[in-house]
Amino acid sequence: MQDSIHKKRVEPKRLAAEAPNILIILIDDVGPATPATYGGEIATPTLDRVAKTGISYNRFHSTAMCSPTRSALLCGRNHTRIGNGQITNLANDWDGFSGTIPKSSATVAEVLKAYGYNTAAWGKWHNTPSEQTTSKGPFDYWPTGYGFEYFYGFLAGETSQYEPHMVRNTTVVKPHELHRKGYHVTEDIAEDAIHWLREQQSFAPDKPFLMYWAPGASHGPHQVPKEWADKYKGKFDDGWDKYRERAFARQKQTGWIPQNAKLTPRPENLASWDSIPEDEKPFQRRLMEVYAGFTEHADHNAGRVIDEIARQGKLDNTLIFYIWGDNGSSAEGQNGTISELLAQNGIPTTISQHLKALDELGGLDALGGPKTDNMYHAGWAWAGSTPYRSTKLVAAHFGGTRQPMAVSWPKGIKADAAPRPQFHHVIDIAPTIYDLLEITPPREVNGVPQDSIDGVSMTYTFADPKAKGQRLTQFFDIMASRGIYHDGWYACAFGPRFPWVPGMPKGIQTWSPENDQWELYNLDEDWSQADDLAAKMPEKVEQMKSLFLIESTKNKNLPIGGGLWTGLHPEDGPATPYTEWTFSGAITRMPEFNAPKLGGKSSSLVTMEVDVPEKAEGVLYALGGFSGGLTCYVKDSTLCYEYNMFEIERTKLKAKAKLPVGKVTIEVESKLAKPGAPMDVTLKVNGAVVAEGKVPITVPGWFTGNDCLDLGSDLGSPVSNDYFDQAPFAFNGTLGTTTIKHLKK
Amino acid sequence: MNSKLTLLAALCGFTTAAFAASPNDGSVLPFPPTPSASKAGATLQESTHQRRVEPDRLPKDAPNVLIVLIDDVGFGVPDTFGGFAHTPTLTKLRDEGISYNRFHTTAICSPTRAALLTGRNMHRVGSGTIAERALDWDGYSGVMPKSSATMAEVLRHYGYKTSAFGKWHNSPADQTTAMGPFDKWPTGYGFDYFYGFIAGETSQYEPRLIENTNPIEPPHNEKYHLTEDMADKAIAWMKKHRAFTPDKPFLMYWAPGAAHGPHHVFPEWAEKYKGKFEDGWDVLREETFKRQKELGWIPANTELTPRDKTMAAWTDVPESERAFQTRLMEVFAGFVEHTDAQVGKVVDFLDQTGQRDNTIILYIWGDNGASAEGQKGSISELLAQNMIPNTVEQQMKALDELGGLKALGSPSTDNMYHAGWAWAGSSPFRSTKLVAAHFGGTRNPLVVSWPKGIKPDKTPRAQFHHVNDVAPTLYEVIGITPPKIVNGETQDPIDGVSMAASFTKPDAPETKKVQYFENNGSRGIYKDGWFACTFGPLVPWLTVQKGLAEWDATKDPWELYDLTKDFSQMHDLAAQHPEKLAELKELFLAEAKENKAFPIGGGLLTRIDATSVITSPYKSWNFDGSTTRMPEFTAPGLGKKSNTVTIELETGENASGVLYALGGASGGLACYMEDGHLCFEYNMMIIERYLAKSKDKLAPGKHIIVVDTTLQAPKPGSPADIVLSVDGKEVARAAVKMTVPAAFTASETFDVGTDLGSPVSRDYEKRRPFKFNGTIGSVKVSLK
Repeated sequence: MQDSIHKKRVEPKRLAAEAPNILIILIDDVGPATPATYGGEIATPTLDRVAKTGISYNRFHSTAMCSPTRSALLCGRNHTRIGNGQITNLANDWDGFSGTIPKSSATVAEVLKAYGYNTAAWGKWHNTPSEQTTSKGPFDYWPTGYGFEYFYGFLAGETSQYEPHMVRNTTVVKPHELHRKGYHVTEDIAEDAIHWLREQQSFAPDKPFLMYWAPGASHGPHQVPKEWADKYKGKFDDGWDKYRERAFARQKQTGWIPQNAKLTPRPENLASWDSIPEDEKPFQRRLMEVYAGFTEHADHNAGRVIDEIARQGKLDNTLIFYIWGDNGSSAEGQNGTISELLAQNGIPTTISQHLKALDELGGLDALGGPKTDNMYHAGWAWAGSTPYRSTKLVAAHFGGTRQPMAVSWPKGIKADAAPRPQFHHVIDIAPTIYDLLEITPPREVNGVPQDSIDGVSMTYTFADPKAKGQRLTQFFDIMASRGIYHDGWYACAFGPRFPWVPGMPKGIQTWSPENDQWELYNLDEDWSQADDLAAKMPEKVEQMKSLFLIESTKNKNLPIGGGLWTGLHPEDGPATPYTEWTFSGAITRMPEFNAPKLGGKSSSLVTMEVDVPEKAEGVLYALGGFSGGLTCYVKDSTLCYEYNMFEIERTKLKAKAKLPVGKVTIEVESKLAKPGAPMDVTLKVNGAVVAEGKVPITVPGWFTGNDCLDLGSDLGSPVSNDYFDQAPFAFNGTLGTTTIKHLKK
Repeated sequence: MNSKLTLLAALCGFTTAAFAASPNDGSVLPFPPTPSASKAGATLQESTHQRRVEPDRLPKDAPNVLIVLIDDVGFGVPDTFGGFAHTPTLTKLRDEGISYNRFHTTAICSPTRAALLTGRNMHRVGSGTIAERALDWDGYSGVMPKSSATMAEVLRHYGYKTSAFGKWHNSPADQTTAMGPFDKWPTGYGFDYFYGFIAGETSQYEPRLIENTNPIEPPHNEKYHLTEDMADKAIAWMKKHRAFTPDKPFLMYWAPGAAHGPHHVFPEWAEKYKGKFEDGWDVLREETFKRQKELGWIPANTELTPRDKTMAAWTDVPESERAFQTRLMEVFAGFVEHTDAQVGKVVDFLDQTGQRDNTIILYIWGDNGASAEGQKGSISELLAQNMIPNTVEQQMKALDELGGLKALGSPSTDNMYHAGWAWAGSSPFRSTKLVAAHFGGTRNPLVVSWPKGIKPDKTPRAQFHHVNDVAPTLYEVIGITPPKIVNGETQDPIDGVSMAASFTKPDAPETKKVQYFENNGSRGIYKDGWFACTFGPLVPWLTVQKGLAEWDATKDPWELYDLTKDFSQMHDLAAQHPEKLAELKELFLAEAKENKAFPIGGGLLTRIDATSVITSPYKSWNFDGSTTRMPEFTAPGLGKKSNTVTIELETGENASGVLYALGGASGGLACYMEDGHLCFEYNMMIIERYLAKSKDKLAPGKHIIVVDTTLQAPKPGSPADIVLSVDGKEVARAAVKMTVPAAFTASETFDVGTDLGSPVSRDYEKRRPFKFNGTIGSVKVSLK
């Protein structure tokens, strides 16, 4: 000790003293003509506030789809370079579609964390491989593995707003902590973000923060308390064609779009409002009212987060990116639905079926509540895309990709109402942040050499609305709907799928990109892709097509249409590696994606050791939720089974006799010939058949995006109306070992 | 067009194998991403699709691994090996496996844990001292560097599912708030899952729990005990493991806070030992020694080492104190048995589910020897860490107010037994925990069970080993070559050696040639059967340490033992073999230098110079009504520094509840309202309480409350004046005769508007967490 000196090391500051706080708000499935801020009819006071205190961009783009946009935003790279040519659930083996953001493309959170930022994310994530979402990880590809010190939200692409399956960091949140009366995910993530901000101020006041706040709203299911939907009562009575005209007029009046912009026409295969039968119209109107309320509610809660930053006196040096949509409005509700995953599963239904089921749930007032997973008609989504063609999933048209964005930073950006028209993309956000913070993107992160960054900084536009655009080229591709921007020109091919048309298109099996028809637009003169110049300028088209292919090749976007593969070949999608499971007791919260396929993909046998008490009741196992699922439960000591086919059809089985008291073996055998085919269900008690039945239509994909398999109770959204009011309807006996096997046929 | 597409694609040079060539042999972790098995052409027709198969990095029958590490329990404690505490689980595993009687730790918590997890010597991994006493010297930084990946990190990349339960104590003490950073929390060191506490100790009834990186609250339930909860959570984790990832083996590190202080256990467990210790520690030691020999646990020629002359004999203890001292020991023994019973639950689950056969269980009986830190016997064990002089009379008087002897082991006290009991628990060795020179500090029994790979054998293995040998042993058994690079970090050499050969061969040649030991200047060196050591300047069982500042490592007297003939370090041969001693002293210096243990005794600095303790970088704070769970170590030092706390609040009629609180029942301070009166308590480690209460009630409405604390002299422990004022007017004051110089608690927190964890004041103990029923706008703290 006498020969030594002791001095505390000083950790060097890696950031300028005044490094700004950063808040990125990303709303889900909202098109350019939805917010009142930019000519729409949904009140968005928070977006107004950010726009008024900052600047707006009217030619800012997404990828046209959820996971792709989010990964591109976080990494500053094109979606296919980082394995996100498709959503995680539909990933495949080609590198551009693997569903895994590689560690060779560090997120902006990872980089900023290393520089001394506190980093946190809330709400929808949708960038974790679907098969890695159980509480057993691995966690490298969870938000906390991608540089966020804190995460509170859901990993899937959508969730029930009332009974979500949430995770905090890598911990599954116990449902009873959430399911209080009046609960709503958007409110919860606002309150949680406010709490985090307060902790940040208490524990690490000298650090700047990066917040990524991405509500599940306004993705389906459209769920919001009735009073929010009621604000819009009667406002959409004259339908989507008229909405489009009104929005277009306002967009011009306010100077949000140029005076020479044209309103593009309705696609031929999308219904006009006039063609909707009168007796359906109240249903269709109410669906839009609910959506509008849901959207305003999301904006309102974003405002609460900003209020807290203001309360702490930090707004002046907080850079806010308010991105209105990870893609355009979604047509996935197709003809209007009370159970939106019908569309994802390709199950055809009629509106009268929906209306009939809805009547049993309480009629139109039930829409937006916990008993439906409703989503509006594609016509409303198209109205929300005004003045553009198409909707979410169409990367060829701006109805899929063009998102308003407001940016405010009082200390660094002078408020200016003139929209910034430079052509930009979500991949430009991370480079903008690096540029502002004077961070040179790292060449190596945690030992992994880094991919090149595709985005360009937008800081040059902050002070100059007229600055010459610095993005020369940008390609777009979602499931072969594709486009290429270059120096004012835009060429595109619609691709094989119409998002608003149910089922897989005819001829998809033999579809080839080479037969697609390309369109060509001169964006300098044609704001909305109204005038196709392809026939007039074939060489220009060829030139642009070549450029598209070069960009695709550079960005791992091959094969063209690679994102279609899993839809065509479900067996090649990400899946659990297991065909047999053993559960010790009441295991809960196994995400549906990882759970045994009990619903319609495979034949299966469930064998349960159960200790049955007197007056037995409660759930033995349940998969999915109220919008779709299956459940095996005991009521009045009687064994019951329900297959809830998206609320449209419920198949119920009930044993003739009561269960014996004491140790009992219960078997549920489900047999079907192929995915989606009718399924024979047999219930046995101690080897004897007690009930049999047939499920006419089964669900080949998933009941839910985010619900789970639970044993011993039905957590999350309850599957059956028979115990909805008693949910989670925990079993009052004891579960021993449960084994589940997939059967061959 | 196809030809054109293909040509363009070729021009751009697309290939599917885009990953840089990174070795795929485990020398670099993580393993490189598995390349696509598909061919991506320009169109679907020109492409093939095939799912890549992730290679298995492990043999099919890779065993599960369960490491159990008990805290602060000595060589002579468990009845498995002749001790006094009933340990049926340890016995069962020994009966079905093997045991080691010359296995060693570092003599202290964080260092042992760091060495265990990394397979390196503790100084090499920055853990020459506990996290809270970290310093700037590299060997004492309190930070396990990423250049020494833990076994959890390595096994995780190979496909193991990894979890840790209980005590951690390997995260930098200034990085424990909800704002992280988290890269040095358990989940940052390779554990997929963590459920426990980050600090070195916690209340067993109101532990400051963390799940992964989330602070969580235990239920306020009179039946709650952390060790039981840990067993339940471990079983729940294994159940989900079995349901969700049944094809992956697991690594579980299960390290209870027991039997570290505070000795907290339900009375029925302590009752089992009623009257068993009436003869005192000297007799207990002799009885233990006798049984150790009878059982063949220690060699027949072993001699029982004598009591150090600075330690009290049982006969020195006045009659009036004896009931207190024996009850403390009964509580400890019950606490130990309770812990072993919880291990049993975890082992039972493995048995019930048929997983035992291929699970390697390493049951390490102690991260160091039994702890003498209870010193003269204590109801508030951190008195010792704070070096606050006190008498047993003071303690017994305070205990009377808490309900007398029956309060021991309960949430009201942080009791810990007399050092004499720890010494008895070290039988047959000299000294206790913290003494790296003697095996009372470092020798801990180890039991290994692996039915599939190890034949049961009751004869103890006698090879000299160390906790840093566990990781290399597992690497060998599983078939893993330790990585050269992990997450881009070039890895430090591994210091441990494999013990695997001795699993099957009782007489396998000893692989450990040399091992050095060092803690707070107490040091030793083992080589080829010889052991040289020097006691060092710190005497764990004495409250007041003399001469630390003047201590010179070069002047210490050394001892020398021939372990081949002398199991217990009985016969000092230093005078007889000066040349051997000189050789070993030189070797010690070389090892110390190589392992970054310089300066020798570096870990003592925080006891000599209080300014060397790591502290919050802040001098002022701005809290609001929602701040909770700010660990004391990161919080403003309200109890030891002059400071001003300003609270803006709004009250109703007869407002009640905590405005803010720091610490817990064993020591802390709290400002609270009681029926409209403003109150303050400075709880000086239970033995003194200083209270202030406003005469008048606060009128409903908005108020500004100021709590002003002024130390009478700018030195640690100085008396302090605390003045409470409301809206600028003094309403009460307290004169604190002695402040707590270092810390009230190890893991309690600063909370606003509530008193989470253990409650500071008895006044609201029954109503805890005694949430404030008004509204707190802000709480501003500034140090003067």
